Amino acid sequence: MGEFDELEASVHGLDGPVAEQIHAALEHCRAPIVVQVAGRAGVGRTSVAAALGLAPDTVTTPVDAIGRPNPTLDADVVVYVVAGAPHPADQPPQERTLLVRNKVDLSDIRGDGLPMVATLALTTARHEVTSGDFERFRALAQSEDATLLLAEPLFGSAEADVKRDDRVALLQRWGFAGVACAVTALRRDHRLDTARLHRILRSASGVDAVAAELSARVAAARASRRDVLYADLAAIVARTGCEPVERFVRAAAHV
Amino acid sequence: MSDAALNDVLDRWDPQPPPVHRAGVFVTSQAVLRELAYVGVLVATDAARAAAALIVLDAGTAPGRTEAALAAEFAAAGRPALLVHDNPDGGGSGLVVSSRLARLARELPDERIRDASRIEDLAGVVRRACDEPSTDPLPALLAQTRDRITAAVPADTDTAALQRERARLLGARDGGRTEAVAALRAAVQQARVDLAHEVGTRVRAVNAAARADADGGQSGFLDRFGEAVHKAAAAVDRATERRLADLHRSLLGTAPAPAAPAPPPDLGAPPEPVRRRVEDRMTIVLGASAGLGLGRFAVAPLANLPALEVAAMPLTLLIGAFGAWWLARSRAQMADRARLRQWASDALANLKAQLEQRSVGRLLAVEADIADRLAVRAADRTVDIEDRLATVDAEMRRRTTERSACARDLEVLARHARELAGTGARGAASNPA
Repeated sequence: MGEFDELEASVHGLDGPVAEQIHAALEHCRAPIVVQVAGRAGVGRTSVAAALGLAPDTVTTPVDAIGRPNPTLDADVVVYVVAGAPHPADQPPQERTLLVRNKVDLSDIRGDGLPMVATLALTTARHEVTSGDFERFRALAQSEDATLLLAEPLFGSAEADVKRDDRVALLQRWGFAGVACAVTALRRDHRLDTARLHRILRSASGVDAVAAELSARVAAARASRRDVLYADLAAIVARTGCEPVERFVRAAAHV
Repeated sequence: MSDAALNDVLDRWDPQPPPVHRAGVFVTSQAVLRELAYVGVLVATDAARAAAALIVLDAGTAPGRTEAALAAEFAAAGRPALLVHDNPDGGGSGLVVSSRLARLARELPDERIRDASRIEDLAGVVRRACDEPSTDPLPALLAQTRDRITAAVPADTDTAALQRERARLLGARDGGRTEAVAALRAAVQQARVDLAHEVGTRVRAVNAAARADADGGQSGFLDRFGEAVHKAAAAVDRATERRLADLHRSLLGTAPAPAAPAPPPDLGAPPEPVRRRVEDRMTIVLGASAGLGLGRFAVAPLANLPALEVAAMPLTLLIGAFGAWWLARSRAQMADRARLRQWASDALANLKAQLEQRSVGRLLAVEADIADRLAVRAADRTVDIEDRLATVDAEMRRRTTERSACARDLEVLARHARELAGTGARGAASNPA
């Protein structure tokens, strides 16, 4: 980012403690915003990180793991993933936490946090809805059996005009959450095409809302870094009366 | 073997005895607990009173420390703990249930949903686990109690420290009185020697001055002598007080009470006035005769001069008289000086005795005072030490009692453990709880 190049150029000639302090403040401001993805084992931290496009090393060791201390959650933004019923070991930090409730398709429990089905998000990112899938979804949508979309164990045995092998293939590709979502959408609106169905599936995964919230948090962290930088620079000006820094701070205040 | 003795031991060491009756299953998930209750399983809300535990892993999560701790708690008491996956993603392995489908099955009575929820299967497993005769808790209880007792037995190192403390207190039991008295005695002896020396020095100095003075004759001698004696006495008194103050301070750390001013020393009667004695008269006669002889010898040449022969007789008499007077006077003076010296040395001997008596008397008074105070101090200290000794003794007695009580309890436990090992597993009926 180049917005501080001017400042850096103007203090280029300076040296001594003032320059060091300015450089330290700039370093702090420019340091990357760190994101951690944390949660107990099995809640889907890796899938959530992948669906959000975060690097695998943002995933911490599990919370409440046997024979291992809890990870230190000290990132600028902590994506804390929970799944299923509230668990006593889930103690996300009060500040800096973006709470994600993963696997919302599996239980009826509603609580705090943004809902997400990370596996469905990953599937929609990797696959398009093929015409074969679309036809089978349509056939399933014709079924009158109320148990069809209740739960995965019932899906295979429910009465519908799709062969068992095809149902298994659908489950393998889209997961039960994806299948249930697609069939429900087609039942409501049979005029949908594959592209719109794909968008609906992606939207149902909740990943976009989480990604938007995450980027807002990252931006907020960045802004707060910048506030700290300006406070540091103002303090340096107050102490030393450094002319170029003062010009920079005043210009920033005008903006 | 008496179970009563074992029960006593177990009761004494277990503040929270295991519940008499355990029933029902403790479930970590409210949803599963509710569904189990709907199908008629006895559930327990208190883990301590539950017969078994059902540890629920929701939505495909893995067991963590929380689950492991609960499983260990139940395992320690010989109670079964089951792990079940609720609403798993994918097939799920091991015991699986779907509380969600179970709830749906209650709302839409449909056999397929009920079967798919597998709640009945779980209920069967849980019932069997609850009814399972739990493993005999007695061995675990014995081991647990033995550990408690072992941890509570007072350590030997503590006792050794107490014994050392006791020996130290015993050594100091008289409150340091012996040492203090010995120190006082030594200091008083030293002071006595010093003061005797001081008195001797002062008196000798007065004596030497008086001797020299007495050679000068009697006039004013008594006044000067008296003054010198007073000075010497005052100096001795000062030295005595200084010495006593040192003594007081070194032994008690306080200053002594000031002494009452001492009366001036008594020098006895002044020398008696000169009385003419027979020696004096003899001296006069001897002086007169010697004078006459001398006069005769002196005027002998005059006899050759007839003109002066008349004067010879009176001159002889005159010289004789003068000789008598001079001899008598010289003799009187010598006698006087000897008398004064004699008197002065008698007076000084007397003075020395008085001063010595005075300083020693003062010293003894102060010694008695210091000894009294030391005794009081030592008595105070002795009371303290006796108190502490009593405390230490009581503590040691308490520990001895405790240790032997612990040993007795351990013996009871060991005997039961041996019997248990001999007879194999005991029935639940003999559970002491």
